Amino acid sequence: MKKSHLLIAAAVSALVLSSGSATAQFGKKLVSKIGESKDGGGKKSKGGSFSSFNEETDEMGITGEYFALKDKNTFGLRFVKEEGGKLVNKIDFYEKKNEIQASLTLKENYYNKNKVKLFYTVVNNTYVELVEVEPGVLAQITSKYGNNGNAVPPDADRTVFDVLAKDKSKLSTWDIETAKAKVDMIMTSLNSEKLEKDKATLMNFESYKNYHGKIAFAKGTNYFRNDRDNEPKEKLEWFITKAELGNTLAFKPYFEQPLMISHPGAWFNITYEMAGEKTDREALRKTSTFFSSNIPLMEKDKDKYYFFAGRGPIDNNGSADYAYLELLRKIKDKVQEGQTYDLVVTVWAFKDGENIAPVATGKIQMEYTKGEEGTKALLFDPVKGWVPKMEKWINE
Amino acid sequence: MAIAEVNNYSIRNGFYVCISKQKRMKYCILIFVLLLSFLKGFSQESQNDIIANYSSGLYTVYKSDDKNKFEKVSKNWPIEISSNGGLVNKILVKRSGILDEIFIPDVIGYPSYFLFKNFRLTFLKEYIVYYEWNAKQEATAKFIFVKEGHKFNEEYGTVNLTVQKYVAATFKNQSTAKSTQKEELARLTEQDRKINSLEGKEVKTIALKIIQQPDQVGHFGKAIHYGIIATLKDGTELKTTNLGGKLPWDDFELNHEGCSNIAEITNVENDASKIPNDEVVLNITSIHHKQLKASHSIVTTNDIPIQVYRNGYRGLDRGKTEVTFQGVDGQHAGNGETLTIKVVAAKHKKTGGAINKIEVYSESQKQIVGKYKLTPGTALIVNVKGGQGMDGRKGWENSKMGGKGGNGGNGGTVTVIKDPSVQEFNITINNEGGNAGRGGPPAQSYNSKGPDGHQGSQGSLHNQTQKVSLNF
Repeated sequence: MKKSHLLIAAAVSALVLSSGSATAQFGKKLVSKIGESKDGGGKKSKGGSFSSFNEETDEMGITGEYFALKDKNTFGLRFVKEEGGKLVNKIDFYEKKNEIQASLTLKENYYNKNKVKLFYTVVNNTYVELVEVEPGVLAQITSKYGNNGNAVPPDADRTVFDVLAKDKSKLSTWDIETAKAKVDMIMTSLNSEKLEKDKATLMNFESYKNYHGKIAFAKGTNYFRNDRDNEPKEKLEWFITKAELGNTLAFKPYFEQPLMISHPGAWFNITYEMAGEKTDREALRKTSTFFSSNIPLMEKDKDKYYFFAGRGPIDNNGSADYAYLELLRKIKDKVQEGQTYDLVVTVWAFKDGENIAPVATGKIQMEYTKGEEGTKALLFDPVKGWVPKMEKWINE
Repeated sequence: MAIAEVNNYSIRNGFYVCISKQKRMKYCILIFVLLLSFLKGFSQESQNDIIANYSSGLYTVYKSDDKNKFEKVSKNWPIEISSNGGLVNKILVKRSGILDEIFIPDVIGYPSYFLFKNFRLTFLKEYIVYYEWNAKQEATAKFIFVKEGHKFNEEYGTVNLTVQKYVAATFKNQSTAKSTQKEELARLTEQDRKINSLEGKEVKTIALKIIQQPDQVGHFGKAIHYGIIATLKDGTELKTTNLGGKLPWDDFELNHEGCSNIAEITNVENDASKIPNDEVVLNITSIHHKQLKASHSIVTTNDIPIQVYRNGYRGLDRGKTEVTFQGVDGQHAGNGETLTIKVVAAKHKKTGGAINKIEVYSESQKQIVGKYKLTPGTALIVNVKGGQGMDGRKGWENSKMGGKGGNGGNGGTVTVIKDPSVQEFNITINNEGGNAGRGGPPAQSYNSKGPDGHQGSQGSLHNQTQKVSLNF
């Protein structure tokens, strides 16, 4: 692949990845490099003409001589289906005749199912992709997303840094922005399919199958296991529907759809209800600077069908959700030993200061237990009890 | 409202009390006029008002680059504005002229922005901002659209700040439109509830439908999933959501026995004294038709192995149980608890099969920590291991060696008292002593590492056979 292309790809990727002073230092070089590339510097092609490639045909319609939007040189691209008796489905990228600069592998799954022609490789630790946006026109892309030797997923951030076309006149239509829009459109379509496939996979897990749209509870966050994406391995027998009030408790919501699909632009919020009282994380955040700085916004997992890790209203490691503790404080005079109370936990799609729709709900019975180590001690012990602790934080 | 309050406060505490009566009226009028103009300056137009200055057509596009500067895009993009009854209800941005992105208003009647996926579009007086919005209420501009022939020279930061301020101010003015929306939503929800509720309907029967019943029914087992079907006198069936219907669970009072009292999903009690008849019974009563009741019983199988965890705490967690001073030496771990386990044979009250009634009493905690019923062959695994000692820390600069490792806790003492009636009792005791904490490294390489702690000793098991009486 053309060196200047690789440098631009590396520079764009590095700029995205790095920050602070390192970015500032590197930025100067990037600016000059892109500047050179933009006007082409009047340089002539070092590689010569690849017009002979246009005489070849292949089933993908890829092989040929290409002109670039930014780089003024021409390139030769050749699709290779088989090599040494093996199926390879790759593009060989030539900067000079008879010298392969890079080989990009076809993402076969996308082509077989969606006729999307996406080729990818890693050059000098930089991920590079070619995506056909129109027959004879390829968007040249890089991404900061770690790929582990595979094509980055459809929902990964992609940067189009050049456009290649067999017909030079096409480059007046396919500027960077247009190519990016088309690539986004292709990726959105692929991502919708991926999400549907993910959901079908998740339905094979008994936790998701039984609890989508609901919340499952367990004694601790360690009962919710995820070694990999879309593999919620927790067992149903670990889930509980009754727990000791004041003791450790964890939950995990399973969504019908990822939040970014069901409620674009929203993030998560959680409410807790028991004994006629209700508390809300976002509402509590707004009550004081202490809670504002200690209750984080819930922006993770918007692309997932569940919270990747279980959440602990009162976690095994001694941490707790302030909104849940506020609920315990509010109900302190309403609960009695030996009684049980329904706790309703709702995970909301939250946007513009409001809970706009519930995305998962669960109910569990909380028992006010007897005994020296029972609920009374857990809630009201002057040192370790959750209620005195919360009262202290409220008065911070 | 906030502005008005602030100004009222100024009036009360500022001049009003200081000036003469004759001049009060003049000042009042003057202040009122000033206040009005002040408020007008802050009044926020909704998108419907601002868009009136825009029309569908081609727009010049500026794109924000990696250096947070705006760069003009070579092609103009078409934007189509659609209205219904004077209110803008859709904006079509044809991105790069090829990709349709349809933006819809956040609040119909008083929009502050238009939404497409994660992107928002807000029309300002001079230009349109296409941006992302985060949970911190911050805007990140992606594109700017200006009418063809118009210029755009704003700084990136200024654009983001301007749109943030506009949106935040407009949110405050949306209360009427939002409450109208909420009222409409509440009306529809209530309408939907009434259609699906048993309230006011002639109902013939209600019935429980078990959706999922585990093979093993007992303490710590999988949940039982159930739904409700109500049959109306005309034969229509209404079902709860988990059976594919919309019959509200709030239509029913639950009064389950031997299991948790939760809609849709219930677990067998973990305390055997709460399952007196060796069965769980699901009981429901219609709230709107008190005479309509249904119940379903499931006999327990008592064959799910139980693990009892009464291990000693780790040295690392010692601070959670008592006040400690933490120097370089690792903390000693806690001992496994001392337990007395009583067992007596009994008959299953429904099947007549053999079961053992088991009570676990913690001498350490001075309380009963478990009451179970298990078939004789089902395992009861009791864990009373000593905790792991905490590793010593790195030595201080002026000390000769690293910190000592904490001692591992001793395994617990378990006394099993079997009633002579017990034929078989499958119990496993894990009461190993906890591992010693390792000595900490020295601060300087020429000094020595701290000594390891001591391994905790193995706990003990005592078996006794004597008359046992358990009242559950």
